[in-house]
Amino acid sequence: MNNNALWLNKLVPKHVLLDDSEIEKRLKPLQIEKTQLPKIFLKDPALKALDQEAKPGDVVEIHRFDDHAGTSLAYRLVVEE
Amino acid sequence: MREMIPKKIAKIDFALMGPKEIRKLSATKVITADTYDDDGFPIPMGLMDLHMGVIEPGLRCKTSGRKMDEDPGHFGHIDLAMPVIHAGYSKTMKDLLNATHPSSGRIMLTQDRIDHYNVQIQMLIDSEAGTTVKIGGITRRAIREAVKSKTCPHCGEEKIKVTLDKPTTFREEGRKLTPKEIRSRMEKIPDSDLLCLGFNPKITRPENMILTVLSVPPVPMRPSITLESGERSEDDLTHKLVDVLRINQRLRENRDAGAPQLIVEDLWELLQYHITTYFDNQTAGIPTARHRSGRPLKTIVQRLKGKEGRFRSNLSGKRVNFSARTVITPDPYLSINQVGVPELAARELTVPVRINIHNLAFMRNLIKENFDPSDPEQYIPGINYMIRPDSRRVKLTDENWEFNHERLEPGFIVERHLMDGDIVLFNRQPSLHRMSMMAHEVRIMKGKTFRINLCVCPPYNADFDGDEMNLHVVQSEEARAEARILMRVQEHIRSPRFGGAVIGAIHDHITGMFLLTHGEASYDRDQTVRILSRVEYKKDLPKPEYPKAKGGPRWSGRQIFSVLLPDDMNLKYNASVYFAERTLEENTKLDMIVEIVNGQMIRGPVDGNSISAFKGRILEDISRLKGSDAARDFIDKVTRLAVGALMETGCTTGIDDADVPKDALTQITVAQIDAVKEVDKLVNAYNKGKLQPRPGRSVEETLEVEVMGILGRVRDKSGEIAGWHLGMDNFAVIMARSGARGSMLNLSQMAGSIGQQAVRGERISRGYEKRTLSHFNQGDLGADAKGFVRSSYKKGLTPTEYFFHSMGGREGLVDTAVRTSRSGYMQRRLINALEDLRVKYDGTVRNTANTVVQFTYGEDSIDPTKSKFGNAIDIDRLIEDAKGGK
Repeated sequence: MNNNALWLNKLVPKHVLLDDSEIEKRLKPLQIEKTQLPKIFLKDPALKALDQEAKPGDVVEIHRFDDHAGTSLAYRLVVEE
Repeated sequence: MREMIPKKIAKIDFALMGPKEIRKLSATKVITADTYDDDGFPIPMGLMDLHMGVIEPGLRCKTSGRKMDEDPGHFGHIDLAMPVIHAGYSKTMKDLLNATHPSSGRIMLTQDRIDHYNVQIQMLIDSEAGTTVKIGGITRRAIREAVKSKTCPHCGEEKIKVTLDKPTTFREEGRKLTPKEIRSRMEKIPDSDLLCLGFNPKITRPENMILTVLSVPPVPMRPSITLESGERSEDDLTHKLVDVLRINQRLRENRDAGAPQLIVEDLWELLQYHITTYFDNQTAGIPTARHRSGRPLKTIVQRLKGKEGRFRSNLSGKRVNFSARTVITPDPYLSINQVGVPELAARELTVPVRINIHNLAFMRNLIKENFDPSDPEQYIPGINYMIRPDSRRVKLTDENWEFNHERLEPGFIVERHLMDGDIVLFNRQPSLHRMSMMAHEVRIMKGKTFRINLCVCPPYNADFDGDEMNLHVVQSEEARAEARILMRVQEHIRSPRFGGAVIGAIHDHITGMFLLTHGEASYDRDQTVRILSRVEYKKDLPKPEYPKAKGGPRWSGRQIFSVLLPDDMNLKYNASVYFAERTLEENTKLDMIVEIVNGQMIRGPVDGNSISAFKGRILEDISRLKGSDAARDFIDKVTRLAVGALMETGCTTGIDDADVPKDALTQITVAQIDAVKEVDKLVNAYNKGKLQPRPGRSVEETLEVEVMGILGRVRDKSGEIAGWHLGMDNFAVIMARSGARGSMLNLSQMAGSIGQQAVRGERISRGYEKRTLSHFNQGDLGADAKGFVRSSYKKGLTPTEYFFHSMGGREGLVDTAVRTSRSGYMQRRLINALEDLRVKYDGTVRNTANTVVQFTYGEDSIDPTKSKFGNAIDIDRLIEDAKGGK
């Protein structure tokens, strides 16, 4: 995570771009294709604030935190529109 | 029916049908507006032509040769004398007319732009991911761009704007365009330009939006009915088609005879009207077509749309068999799992049972007992039908039962009447949550109503002022197992909404338990045995708490109640009667704290905070820690114990429960006078401009807030004064304090003072100019003039008070009326959005497309039903247990 002001907001969860092997590892137990993931727009501010540049077809891992439920992981497929 | 599906459907294209397709589909051409001849026989080439299907038994369809009920019918067609616009596409047509140039027929974009859009669309079509919505977005952009250009890049001519007068009139600079002209313009558009206009020329072309041939639906879709008088009554669609045919005929005659242009145009427009209303009789901008009686005709769109339309009424929802509906009444001796079913209903509702060697004799006996009862008083389930292994149904009657009951053997299926212990689904509408439909065990009863335990009223939101409920008999073994395991009432004691009990003791049960257990209440041997007999207590009596009492040993109510508690229960909490404003010591002395040690109540009363839904601590513990069987047993027994206790002590309330001594009334009056004086003082200060505004408020707002505060306090105070004089010997107070029904506020409003009335959260300020009623001076801001009610309900209200009170009351009524309809629609949309979500076995939440919605259910995999008010773990309790229990 860089020092983009976006990450200072506590309501913005941590986003991590996954590489192909990691995607494979995460999707295998779910028995789904990439296209069955929830989507995230390429123009999403969180993606723009990442260190690497995301491109359509990438998958981001989102580390959410909630007082009640604790930490949870979510995955989203980057799409153009 | 299999033979009716000769091919497997691989793909469906939704598109416009052109005249060629309509004629190809047609079984006959329709030319006469008449339906039947004098003998009641369908006229050939009339609207009821036998080629389009049959609706009378005995006749055969001339197209397929099938009889009524075997034949879904066939379409016919009407050749229109002049082309007519399909009103549903007028908007698309307007776009197309404006995006293309009439002389060249080309879309008004340069070839570059056309290619640009074509490439995008083609990519979407090829990619499989291309949805209609996405393609629609591109075509819309293309059209918008084309409409904007003033001159055609292909022929270089200027373009005149076409306007649309809804629903079907197109104008070009004020000149009306005839459907004929529009059609020829559409025909001119080359195939190559159609893709970016949103048409796939391989499937359809835009000129099909203008009708030259009208498809006539099959007769079985619009059957005529024969009234008792022998008169025939036609379907609304047939009526409309008759209109179309008639005008079509006149139009053709007039046109061919060379009638004046004006007459032809009028008829043409009339034909347009009839066809528009034939599709949609609620088209904006034209009058609705009506039946002779004045009733609006139900045409095609009306058949499909809305709550009573084909989709919501016949496809999403269907009528069911094996169901019953009647009034509900209470029965405290039923378990919460049970439902009392009247014999009359039970003899109509059946369960299919397959005969085997184990139940053969039993079933034979049922048949025998039913036709030749040994005890006519007793309900014995009977059998309506026998289904033989060759799936022939045999109805059992007085004549054939003896013969058939001998023939009964393994392999047969019998349809047995409902009997005790059968599992059924019970439902009350509106079905707002899953607890609105629960599984109950049947108890056959005399009478004509469904009977339920009172504790299941809250989840169904039922009462007994005439409510009716529905019952469904589950027909298969799997369904019965599912219903029993997942849907039984006891599995729904805890709600997934907030992780607490929704089913628990209510009203009389709480009063009864409080009376049984409060203070020093004790019972002699007779009473104790009588009360305990109601819960089928089979062990020895506990050691009496007061063995040496006068007149023999006595048992405390707490001892009797403790019989229901598990031995390992340890709890300490404040009772509902706890005085929040007094100290802990005082409350302890007054026996307002409940303590349970090793399943024995050692102090405190059992009231709302112990056994009621939502907040009952004992109920909460049992349902969460001991499981649903124990919780059901506890609730059932509390119900009976409470009834038993009430039988011993009695409980009544009346108008004298709101009696307070005279000096208390004086005190209340004095307090009110003081408060009103204080208000007057504030008002005076305000009028003189001396009132200091509070931070962030205007002077007016400050005055209102202060006055509301003062009047609120005096209402509380008069309630307090009344409360002092209403002690725990008063049943109304007992009910309010124990949490059974009503509140101390209700009581103080009856005995003391009703207090300030409000509309929209403010003191009443509407009415006449600068005053609420003509009884007051203009500009009067005092308490009485703005809706303060000094009187109590018992004393009665003055006319002005009564009026203010009605204003406040009306607001409440309007609010509830508005809220229910609005929240109902919101709920419908929410449910439609979420209905296909489900938690899969891997813990993810997915929809029917199998895409993941949540990677872990609720992000934490917690079943809220099993949580403690939303928390996965009851940490306080764990700590208590770790400290050694207490």
